[in-house]
Amino acid sequence: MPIGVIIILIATLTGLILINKIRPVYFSLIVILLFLSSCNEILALYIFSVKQKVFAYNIFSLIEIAIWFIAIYYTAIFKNRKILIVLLFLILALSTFEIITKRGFHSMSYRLFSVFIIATSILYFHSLLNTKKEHYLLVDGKFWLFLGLLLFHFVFLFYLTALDFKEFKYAKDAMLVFREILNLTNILYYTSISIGLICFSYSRQ
Amino acid sequence: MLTLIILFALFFYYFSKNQNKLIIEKKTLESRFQQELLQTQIEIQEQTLKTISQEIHDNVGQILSLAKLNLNTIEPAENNKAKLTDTKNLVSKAINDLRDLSRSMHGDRIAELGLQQSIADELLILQNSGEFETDLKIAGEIYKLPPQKEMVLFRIVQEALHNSIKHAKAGKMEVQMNYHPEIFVLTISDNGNGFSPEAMQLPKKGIGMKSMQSRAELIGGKFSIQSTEKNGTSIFIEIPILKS
Repeated sequence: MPIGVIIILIATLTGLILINKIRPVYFSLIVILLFLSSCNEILALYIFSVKQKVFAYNIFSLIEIAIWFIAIYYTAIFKNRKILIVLLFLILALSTFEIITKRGFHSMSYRLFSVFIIATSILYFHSLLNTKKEHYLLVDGKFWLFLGLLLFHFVFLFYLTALDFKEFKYAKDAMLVFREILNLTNILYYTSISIGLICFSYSRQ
Repeated sequence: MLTLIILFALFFYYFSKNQNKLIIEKKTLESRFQQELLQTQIEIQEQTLKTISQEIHDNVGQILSLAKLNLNTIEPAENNKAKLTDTKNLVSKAINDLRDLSRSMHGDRIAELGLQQSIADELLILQNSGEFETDLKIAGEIYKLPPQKEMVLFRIVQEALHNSIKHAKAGKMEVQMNYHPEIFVLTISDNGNGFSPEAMQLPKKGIGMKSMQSRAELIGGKFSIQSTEKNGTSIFIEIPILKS
């Protein structure tokens, strides 16, 4: 089993153990996301055909987009939250359209989502820089979540964009290197989420 | 990836810089608040002492003086002559003690007399009780400290003497005033029970000790104690002299 999948399973297990302690409660949605991610990865690894894999990843990414939007909605980073609802429906509609009309992964709309996540993470880090209160970064669950999200989406955005170029797509070595970087990012992403969930479950006790 | 790492490093640098600044600001504010709180406490305490002092002087003192006058007008009979004389003496002693108490309580009087005289009077009161031996030593060229500092120092001396009598069961108390050009050092020593170095640790200190330390710090002084069991206690207060 690839180490990336093992890390996802560990993150899911961590989430499931802590699910009752996670505060604020809406961050428990991330545990559901982790669980779905685990199922998706295992099925894709051992059971699904290529076509089924693409379909499963597409459906999973739609759920992922929705869950992250809900989580960001409640983190109060954006003063005007209505814009988030509009943006969510826009990305979901675009993704559905892309899934129906295109055979592969809905990379265009997912890239839009990645840009949104990167912008949100930068906004959050900017707010941390301007905070007028004492802030303990290492026990802040949101910090770990946004750290993981920024890292993952930054790299994934490059990867999806690079896939649009034929020169890259058929350059085996470049693909291999990028996939390794992506695997490493995945490990860091799920580790950050696990640390974030631990922070959310212990910070108020 | 490299860009991200550099950006994160920059983020951590500026974040910790910002947080350090906030922590320093918070500590400064807390310290200022504590100083103001202590200042207010001292002002309230001084006002209360002043009121009690005036009440003793103007009310109780006057009543006792009137009582003494009345006693003087009574014609002594043979059978109560000794008793009457004793009563007159007791009332006189009460008047004198109350006058001393009123003086040592009154803050304005401390400002009027100056620190040395106020401490000398305080020691004299103890000396006159016949139970304690006291000594005041002054060294260096005497200069005047700001009235508020003198008031606070006098209250520290009172607290220290009170502790020597109440807790240390001391028989001899000594106050030393060293006037150096750069620093003023006030030492209050006794020959009482003393205490072990462990008991001198801050959490175990009594309210009186903490109060003396806070008062000394309020006027920019350094407070320290030297004590060993059965060998008495010495309290040192060092006040730097700011030359304007």
